[in-house]
Amino acid sequence: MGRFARLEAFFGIDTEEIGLLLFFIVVSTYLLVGSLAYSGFVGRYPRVFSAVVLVCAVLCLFRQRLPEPLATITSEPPDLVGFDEDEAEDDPLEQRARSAETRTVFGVTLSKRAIVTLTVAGYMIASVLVGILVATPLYVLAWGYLVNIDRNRLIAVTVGTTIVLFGFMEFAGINVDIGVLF
Amino acid sequence: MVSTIVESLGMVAQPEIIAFILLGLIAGIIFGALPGVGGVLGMAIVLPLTIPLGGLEANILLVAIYSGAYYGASIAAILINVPGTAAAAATTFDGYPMTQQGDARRALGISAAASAIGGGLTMLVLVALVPYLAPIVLAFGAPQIFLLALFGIVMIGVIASRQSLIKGVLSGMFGVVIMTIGISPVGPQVRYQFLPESAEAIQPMMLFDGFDFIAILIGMFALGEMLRIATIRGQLVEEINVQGSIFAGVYDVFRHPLLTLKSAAIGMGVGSIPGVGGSAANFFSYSEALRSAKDAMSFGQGDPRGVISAEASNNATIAGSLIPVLSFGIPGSAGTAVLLGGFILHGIQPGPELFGEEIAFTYALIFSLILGNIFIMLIGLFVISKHGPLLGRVDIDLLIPIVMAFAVTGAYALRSNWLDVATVFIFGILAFYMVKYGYSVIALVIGAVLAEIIETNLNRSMSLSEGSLLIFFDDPLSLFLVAALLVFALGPYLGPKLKQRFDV
Repeated sequence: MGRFARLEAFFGIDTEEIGLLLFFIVVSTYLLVGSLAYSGFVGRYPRVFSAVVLVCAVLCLFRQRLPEPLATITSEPPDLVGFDEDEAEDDPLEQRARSAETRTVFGVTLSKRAIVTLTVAGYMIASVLVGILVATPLYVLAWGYLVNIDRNRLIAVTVGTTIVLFGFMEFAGINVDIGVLF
Repeated sequence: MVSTIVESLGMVAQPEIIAFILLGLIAGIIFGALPGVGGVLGMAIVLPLTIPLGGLEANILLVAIYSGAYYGASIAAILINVPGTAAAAATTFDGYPMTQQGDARRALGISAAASAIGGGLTMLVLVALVPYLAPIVLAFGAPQIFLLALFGIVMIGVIASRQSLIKGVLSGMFGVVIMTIGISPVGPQVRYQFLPESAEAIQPMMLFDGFDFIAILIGMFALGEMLRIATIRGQLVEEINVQGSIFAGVYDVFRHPLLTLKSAAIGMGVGSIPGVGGSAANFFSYSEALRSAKDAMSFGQGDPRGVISAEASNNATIAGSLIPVLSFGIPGSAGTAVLLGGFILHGIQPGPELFGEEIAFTYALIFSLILGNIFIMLIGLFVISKHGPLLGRVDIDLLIPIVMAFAVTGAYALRSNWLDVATVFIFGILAFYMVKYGYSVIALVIGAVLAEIIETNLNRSMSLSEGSLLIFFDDPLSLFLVAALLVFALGPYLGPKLKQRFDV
């Protein structure tokens, strides 16, 4: 994060949050500019809503540098209801002892979160290429290998998920056996 | 009325419907009991798999998961001091001390009985309310539905992103705006094609039909949650010592009928407010029990009344949360957003239809939940008291690939479109960072779910008024909704300043 220290110092927020807000800004700008190609309500509707998203994202990004009246609306309000549904900080799981697990994969040390992200990305790409039916057992085995799951349990889960997929194919008619390649 | 109720009872009394209720409840209890998983994730991954089912079976399965998860969340709260979801957080205050004192079975008995009674009675209240909801629903035209949907998003955004109003509005509106991609619901025009029409080879990968909000739901609640729980150690507990008498717990609930009823009423009232939900009801009810108790010193040290108040209220929120979703198609929580997804997926339009032509469906859904609450009591007393501790031993490392396999298959099953699989990935990553930095995932999801309602009703309003915005101010109901929207959005900021000014 060292190389982003100046960026963090300028905005006064984490690099990851800057990235998140830039994502909102890029998407809303694209949608705002793209909406200019459409006339009437079909264009005006996305224009208004993407403009709202853009303004909110910019205000959030520059919230530490805003003048007083604007800073008030981006700051934490005094008290609303007192509870919320989806804040990580309230989740008792967050207070639970966590394992700072890392794994070395092909010489690279990865956090467990990175392993989840990479394996899921690989799983999705493999699903597109060879179909979900083939990709799923490969994904489960790869995941199990990377996080050291007991061999018997891993085989049980691999076989179980494959059977469930066959079930979807047979009873729900979902073509999980088809990928782009075959 | 009576014939409709009889017809609905007949619809529920089918063996396959009862099987779906049981299946949903068991799945919901398991999902709810696994800390970090919860009923919403369970509903999200099951939702696309209900495609082959009929509308009634599918939605009964989903509400049964929703209901079972609220009860399931209390199991881990009582046995290992980690609530399955935030809706059972207050259950830990007295539930876990009871386990420590060798009274775990009694606490589980209280949880099963209070959940079933709270949930069941409030469903009966909902049955009684249905005839009165119909005229209210019919009073809402396009302008009022547009304002109500906007109010719902702002309210949820403001409550959920309590760090700032702007974060909440940003999340909700982002959900609305991404759904503008693809064919407009008010005309034949395709918005944002991204790629030129000549790129025929990759047309199946293009967003002609836009994002599927169910894929967004799956991504945000499945991958987002899996990323969040990935660092929790594999197995939460090795061994749990479960002792005590389960029927003593049931007796405790019947010994405190007023507390049970009051807690259920709080739950139903709080549940009907968009964005507040089970976690708030849980705490409000517990606080009220504590405030009104003559001997409050024992609360927090294993007092059965603490478990009764928390558990009767959280299951009762379901009845309350169904009111806005059945009446206007406006979900007040993540669970009801997924449920609304189930309605839409199966061609059921919430609103006047559910109180007119489809009234039998509405009653059948409610009756299935009443029956579900009876099953909760039976499962709680005879299964969970014996085998509940096993749920604490589920390995999260094993859960992740199972959930992801269901999520990917479910997303693909929606339209056989690989873009929906990519949507799961993109929105899963987005959800993880949004939660990390206090942006409301629920507001985004509800924005996406309500996007079509907002666009079609805004377009209809503009057509009716020939483009004049005055249509949103020219009747008392619209004015009330505009005022409520402004008060809720600006109140937390302007309120203290006004108070200060008048004090001076």
